Amino acid sequence: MKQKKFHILLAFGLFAAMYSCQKEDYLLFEGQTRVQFGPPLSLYKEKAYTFRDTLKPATFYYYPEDKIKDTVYFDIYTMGNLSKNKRKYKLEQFNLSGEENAVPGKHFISFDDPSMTESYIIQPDSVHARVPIVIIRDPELKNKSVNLGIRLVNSDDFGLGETSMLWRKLIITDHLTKPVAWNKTMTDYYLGQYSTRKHQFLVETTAKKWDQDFITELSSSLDLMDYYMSIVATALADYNRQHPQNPLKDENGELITFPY
Amino acid sequence: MNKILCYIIAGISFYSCAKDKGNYSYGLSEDILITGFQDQYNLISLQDTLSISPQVSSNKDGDFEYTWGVIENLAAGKINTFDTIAHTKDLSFPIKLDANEWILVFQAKNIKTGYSQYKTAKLSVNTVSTRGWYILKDNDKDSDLDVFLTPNDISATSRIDNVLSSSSGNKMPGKAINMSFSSTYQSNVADPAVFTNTRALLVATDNDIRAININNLRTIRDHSSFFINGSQPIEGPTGIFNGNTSIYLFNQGLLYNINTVNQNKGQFGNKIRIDFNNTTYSLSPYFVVRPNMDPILFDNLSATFVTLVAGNGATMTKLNQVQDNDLPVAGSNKTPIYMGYKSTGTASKLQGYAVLQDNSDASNRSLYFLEKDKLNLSLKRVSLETGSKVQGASMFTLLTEDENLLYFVSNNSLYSKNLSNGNEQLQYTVPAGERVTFIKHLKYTLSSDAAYNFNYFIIGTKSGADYKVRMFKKSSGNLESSPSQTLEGNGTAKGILYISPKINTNTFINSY
Repeated sequence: MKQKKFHILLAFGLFAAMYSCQKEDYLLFEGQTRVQFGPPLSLYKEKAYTFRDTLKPATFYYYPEDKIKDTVYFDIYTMGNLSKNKRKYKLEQFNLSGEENAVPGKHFISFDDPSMTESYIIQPDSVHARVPIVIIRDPELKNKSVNLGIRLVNSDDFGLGETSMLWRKLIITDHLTKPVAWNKTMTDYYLGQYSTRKHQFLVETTAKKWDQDFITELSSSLDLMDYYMSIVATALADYNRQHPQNPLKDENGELITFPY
Repeated sequence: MNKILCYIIAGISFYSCAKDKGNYSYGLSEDILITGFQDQYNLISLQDTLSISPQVSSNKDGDFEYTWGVIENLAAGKINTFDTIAHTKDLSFPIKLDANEWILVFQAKNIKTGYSQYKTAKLSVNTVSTRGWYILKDNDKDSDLDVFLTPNDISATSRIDNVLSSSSGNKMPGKAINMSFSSTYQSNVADPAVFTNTRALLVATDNDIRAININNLRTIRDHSSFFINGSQPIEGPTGIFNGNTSIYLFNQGLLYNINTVNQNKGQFGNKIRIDFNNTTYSLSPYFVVRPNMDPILFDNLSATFVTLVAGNGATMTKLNQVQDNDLPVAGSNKTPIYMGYKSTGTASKLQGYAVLQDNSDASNRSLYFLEKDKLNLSLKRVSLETGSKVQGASMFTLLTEDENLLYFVSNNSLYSKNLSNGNEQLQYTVPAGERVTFIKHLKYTLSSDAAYNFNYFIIGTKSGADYKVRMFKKSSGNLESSPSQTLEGNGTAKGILYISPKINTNTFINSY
């Protein structure tokens, strides 16, 4: 009897398990045009890059002090019919819990600011647009980073696309930050552990930004990667030879090295 | 309803079987015979016309139509297409194809019976630049190339002067140093958007370096575009050669490389450091290398033997001292006046010889046998007898992977030194009025190009404003009394290579 009960329970359990997870339904075209974020246009057809640019850092570090605003772009795509008219989409900021959130008017120009609303438009006969986010150089960004959560909301012209493609995160700073492309492979084989001083040293010795775009470019051009790594490793060797008592260290007092 | 179904099934059954009328053909099959056709044709593009008059016969009454076409052979990564070139029986086809291996196809179709027969032949198309002897020469100021055509066999039939300046528009500034051939040099000459392997001649003078497209002899890169960070002056010591997975360059005594395994744009990167401290160095222009092996290099400032491991990385590696070495791998008081490749030893060891000059006494030379096993370098002294002519010699070369002999020039005469028993022997005395400008052992053993195989010891000389390049066969390491052929031209000959469509990066050993 006990065994029979067990088998019944097991059957219920398996049945429940089978139906407890369900794949999220695809959004099928039902007449409503929709909008969602996506990777840069050049990578749109590359499956591996679907979530490229979900998180993007932006820094004023490389610019002269008198540059107080900059524009960062994301990419947006429509689904459904084309239109002969301009179509508006809407953005709103959402709070990122546990992070210091960007303040409208202080760190970025609010999406509903009259100067911006006309920027959030899909041009006639177009399915793609670049989404401008205007960031502001606040003095406090020299010492900290703020995070801007951006999401799409319904507008008169567009419904919303796939849930996972409706948001973006922008990190705004006025100092160097570790680019996402400085990943484990970069750390293990080329650049070593990240530090702000090491990042500064890379910029100083090559006059390159060593930001997300530059490191991504190097990742796909190993001849260039070898070239720049040779430049920085040689510059580091020269610095340490010229400063035998004070070799280059990072902000934590650790010796700066490259595994290359 | 059932009735309708029955009618449908009956209808299908009715048409599913057909009566066997037994109208088979039991006659003889047609046999079309094509003759008057060679297995292979070797032709020069823009110069030759392919003329074939095949005989076509059939055991049946026939009225034939003909199709000639070509298909590119050995086109890895490409979809081959059949290009129709004629519909006549007799072919007269002026060759304008790219230099490559092609397949010639001839189809004879009997339009009365519908039967066809095909015949194919290999079509090896060269340009004037893709097969022949290449002479690197200079006039003390500028350098250029002469090509001697070899349409039938290894014997030169005609000479084309100054092909580099004719094709590229200008000579290379500086005195000629050396050249090598690479089939893995990457360029975008075929498609501006894509960098792919390009058959290229790599040439160094003491003021320029060039990658030259062997198909048309146009310059792909020179010193202004050969470096990632822009134009760089080329100054001695210079030299360019192929080694393990890399093309190596000496410039101003510094080492540069292009790793041919990685995707690249055919450009050299930053200089390779000699150590992690970026110590100042100045490499000897001499090296020991062979395909798939890291080179033996020598830093003249620290008197240290070094290598670049796997042809990759930003830093050279000092070779390790082996117990009982007759010379320390680092810190000796000697400088090479010659190093070269000899052979591959057992277990793929790299073997060569070096003639070293004492830094404190330039008249004191010594000869060493070098054997590199991974990162270990064995240095064994080879005795030079009193009065050895090696002491006053001016040029050296080794018989690569042949008899155990070192050849050298002393007082404008060519001598050999047996490296096993030390015996020195006069091999050739240069005619009066001529001066030796280079010596080299070159052999070509590709079985796929057997008609062009050779094994020559080559002596370049200069007389007045002209050069002579004599090619000797050898017997047991000794030169035959007279050369098999002599190439003559204008200028000072400094080097020679044989170029054919069959060669690749590894065909010839890079060595002085």
